[in-house]
Amino acid sequence: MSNFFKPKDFKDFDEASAPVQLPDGSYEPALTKEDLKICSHRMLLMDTVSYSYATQNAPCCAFAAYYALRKIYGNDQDAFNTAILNQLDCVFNATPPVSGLLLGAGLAMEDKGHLAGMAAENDLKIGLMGPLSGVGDVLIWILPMTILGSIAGYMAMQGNPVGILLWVAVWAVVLVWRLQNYVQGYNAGAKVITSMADKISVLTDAASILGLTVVGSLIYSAITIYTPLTFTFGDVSLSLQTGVLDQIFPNLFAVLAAALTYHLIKKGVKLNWIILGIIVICWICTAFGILGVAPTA
Amino acid sequence: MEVNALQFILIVILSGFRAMDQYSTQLFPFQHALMCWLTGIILGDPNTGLVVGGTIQLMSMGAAGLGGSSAPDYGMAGMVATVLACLTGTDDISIGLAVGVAVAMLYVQLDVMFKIYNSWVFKVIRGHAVKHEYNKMLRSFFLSHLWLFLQGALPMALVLAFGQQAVDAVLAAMPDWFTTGLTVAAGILPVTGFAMLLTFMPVNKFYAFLIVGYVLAAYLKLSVLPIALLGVAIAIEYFRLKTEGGVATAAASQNGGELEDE
Repeated sequence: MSNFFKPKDFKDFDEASAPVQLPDGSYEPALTKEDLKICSHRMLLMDTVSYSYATQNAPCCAFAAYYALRKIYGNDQDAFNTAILNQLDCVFNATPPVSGLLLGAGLAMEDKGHLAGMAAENDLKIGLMGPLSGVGDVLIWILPMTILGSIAGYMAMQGNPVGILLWVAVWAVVLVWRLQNYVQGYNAGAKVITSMADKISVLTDAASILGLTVVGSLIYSAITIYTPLTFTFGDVSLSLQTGVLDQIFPNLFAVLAAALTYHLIKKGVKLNWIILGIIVICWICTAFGILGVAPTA
Repeated sequence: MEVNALQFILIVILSGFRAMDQYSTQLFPFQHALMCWLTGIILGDPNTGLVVGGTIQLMSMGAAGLGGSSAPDYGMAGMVATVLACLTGTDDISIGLAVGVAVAMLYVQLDVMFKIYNSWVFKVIRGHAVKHEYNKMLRSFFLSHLWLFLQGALPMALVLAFGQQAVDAVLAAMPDWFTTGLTVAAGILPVTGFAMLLTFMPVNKFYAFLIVGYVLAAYLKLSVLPIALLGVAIAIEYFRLKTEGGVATAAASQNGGELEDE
């Protein structure tokens, strides 16, 4: 494990590890693939755990890059101190699994320019964390939640754990990729990351189509609203739900409820109030026999 | 049912780990159904875990707390609901779910408190960094993990210790419309997850596919897996059409550019 979160040959401000300055004022890059992987591993311990309203996830970046920065600045204690404080103070917040790409690209700048590269690194981080998260939130959080989460949830409601296992398996693949994302970011550099974010928008659209198809089906199948109301004409009684509505528009109430809730959220009504409202409405409607538990067939 | 010491410890640790994992390692982020299933397995009733977990999972969709916003903690809700449903030993999961949902809402406040606590942790970390005390600095980061673990573990211990009596008392005192109403609500509440999710998605651009999904499920009676596969097919074709078109235009303009150069 010592090799996983900390470089094997790490030495404390060793005199022999002075940074090598090149004639053009830049420095000989010091980081290896292994150093960057250690950043990815350390980021895995952190992700968004240090989130505060002050500098958001910046401390996580500092924790992840600690040994990389130590290697970059070698025995130059003051420069290292400036660098680590800069990491702590430079506001950062991005979708955790993709933030390594951006932070790796930033480290590439610092590895070459040292303190002179720090301003550009900060600009890169602050400038791209928004766009990168826009893509990352959709591809990493929202779509897996829609597709894998709803398959897992829906199958689980029927007592079947296969969907859950599928989700765990897919996320394991993402995890393997995450364990080296700093390497990719470092090698790609700022330009490639920017252009990548543009290309991914088509992929995001395509994936949204998939997500909306699944949500459309789940609004029908995962929401249960049943009314025991019946019409009585003399001797004949007709159930409003199974006799009328389901014949024309199956589970119409679920569609209406989804449309109404969507509208309320869009209007800025807090989710907690909507949940409370649903529970209160259910109490009232159950008390007056308007809603009920569907009889199991 | 009675909880033995081993079950008690395992569930408290699982709950603490889940709360921590959600923010830090993210090995199983938002996989509430998984956590409920595991809770059910520990308590010897995997099926209740699956049913509660599935319901909570569908409710939670879209509530991911993106960009540092605070979202209800559905993972905690699911585990509390599973424990209560298993403890009371009835098929009726509604009381468990109702308590769980209440817990999820309370946890929004705890989330805000955690982020304020983190401001103090940040001061500690930075203080050590300024003084060049790097080993102390690195250790201080884990103060955040500690809070999260306790935030998950302590309330769960209370639920395990007193949950059954509390729920039994509620069940005995409450009229029929109260519990039936909660069961009805449990069937409707997943709608909040879907609606929240839709607000993150380009509904105005692609609402037609909502209709496609509804028709496949409601009239053709397909289950969610085949519908997802059809969705994949549509997505692949969309991606192919868009990118091939894009490449063709790009190639054409590149050719044009080359001609001009010559």
